[in-house]
Amino acid sequence: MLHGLTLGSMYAMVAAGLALMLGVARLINFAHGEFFMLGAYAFWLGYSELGLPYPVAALLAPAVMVLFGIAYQRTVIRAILPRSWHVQLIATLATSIVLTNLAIIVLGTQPKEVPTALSSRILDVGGFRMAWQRLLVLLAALVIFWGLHRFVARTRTGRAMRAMSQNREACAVVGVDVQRVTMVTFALSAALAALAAALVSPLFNIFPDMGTVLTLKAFAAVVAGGFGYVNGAIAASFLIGLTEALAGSYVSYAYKDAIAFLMMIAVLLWRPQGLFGRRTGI
Amino acid sequence: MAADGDGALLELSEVVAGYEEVEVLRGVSLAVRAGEIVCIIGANGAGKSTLLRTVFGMVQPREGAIRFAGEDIARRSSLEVLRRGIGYVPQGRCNFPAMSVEENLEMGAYLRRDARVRGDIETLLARFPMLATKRRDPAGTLSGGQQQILEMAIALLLHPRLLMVDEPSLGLDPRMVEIVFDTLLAINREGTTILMVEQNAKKALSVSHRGFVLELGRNRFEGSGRELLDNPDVRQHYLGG
Ligand SMILES: Nc1ncnc2c1ncn2[C@@H]1O[C@H](COP(=O)(O)OP(=O)(O)OP(=O)(O)O)[C@@H](O)[C@H]1O
Ligand SMILES: [Mg+2]
Repeated sequence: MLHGLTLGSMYAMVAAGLALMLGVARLINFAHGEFFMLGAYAFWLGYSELGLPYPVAALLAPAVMVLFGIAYQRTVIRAILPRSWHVQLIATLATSIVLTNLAIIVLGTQPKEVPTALSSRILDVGGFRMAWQRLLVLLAALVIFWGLHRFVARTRTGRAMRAMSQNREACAVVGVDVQRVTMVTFALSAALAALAAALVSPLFNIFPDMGTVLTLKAFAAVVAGGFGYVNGAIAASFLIGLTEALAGSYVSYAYKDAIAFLMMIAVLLWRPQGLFGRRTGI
Repeated sequence: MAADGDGALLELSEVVAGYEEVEVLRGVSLAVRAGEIVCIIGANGAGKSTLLRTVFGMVQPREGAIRFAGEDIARRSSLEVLRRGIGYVPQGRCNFPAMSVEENLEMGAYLRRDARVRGDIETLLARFPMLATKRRDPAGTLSGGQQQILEMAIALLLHPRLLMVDEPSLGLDPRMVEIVFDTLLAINREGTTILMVEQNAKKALSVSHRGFVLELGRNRFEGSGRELLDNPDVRQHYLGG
């Protein structure tokens, strides 16, 4: 159960970014799992190699990935945004492959373990035992989603993001700087993926191709959650995480990765508009 | 025919523009004087919307000049054109359907940071009671006519000197068409110059000071609203005989 919530938090942070990019920029970033992978390595570098305290290393990862997200938007995304979805698919997939292979060349295929004080300390509540780190993941995820919601609902830039997800042409008419808002969206999505990585890396191994399956699971959550509706993607992510954890312990560990896709297919058959019906915008 | 540029707020001369390999505007010249309502009519696909998009910086002209208030704006971005005082209500739905009417108006003031925004929004809501009663409803739930009025109100929040409106009466019932044209007249009386594109040529010319007929990417006829309404060629081709 708690394992499912940890997985759900991780998927949700990645899927929320994917949904934001889809909603605001109308683009599916198939390199999004690699944002998570790079964020995890940035965390490993800060925590294990540089010996930074956990909170500092955990914030260094999103800081680095914000810069990476901006660079990615300025180069790859700006070039492919006006092009057809075929071009976008191939360019983002190519980025994913290039990043994975660069990670293999630079960092090797040997998985990195980054245990922290909190990941080995066990909290015992009346016989129910869990690592403190899992509690931290869940609490941090809740705070992050609350912050994200406030940002999108209340700030000028958040409002512009919603506006872009609802009507592009109307944005030009009222003077929204579409390029800048797209850049902020990518920076924010990259930061979310990196935060997820910094939170769960003490519990799981870090390896170069960890992003691939994650992208696909997050994509499944985005589709099930209403194709660009952020809260829908978050809810679907928790559903996937919980189902996966239950299936892992009661059915078969070998099939757990198939759960996300079975769920996506089931949702699409049952409700083609996604779990939450037809919606406009993020 | 070259437009008379003296005292013109907006002036296009020999503008050529289009999309990739298609050339849509093939040398358009026209002038809009401050305070006027000017109407552009023409067949489907004549390039009327492209003309407005070119002025607004969404389509870059290949040749020719576009001057607004004495300044060349031909290669400016939409944002720069907007900041110089040109408002634009495109053809079709142009609002934020999942935001409330009030939030849509706030989006209209996106570029403004002054303290008078709230007051301006209240003034607009008071002026358009049909929007005021729906201020908390998502814009997407409004009728087509109400959305058209909302879109004009959104454009008014930046107090444009020139308001360009593309087919404001498209798809509206006759009663709503009257309201939309009355609104445009009222906006004009308050000092905003208006350049509109209309299929409903009879109605549009009757409220316009001057009109232009766009044909095959060139302006063919020009005259006062009355003159065009009385012109036999225009009558035959654009006013249904
Ligand atoms: N984005 C685009 N890319 C390529 N061609 C376009 C584009 N937009 C319009 N066109 C073409 O340019 C021509 C003029 O279109 P435009 O929309 O300016 O005409 P219009 O006079 O406004 O017509 P309507 O009365 O149907 O609104 C048409 O042939 C149209 O097919
Ligand atoms: Mg048109």
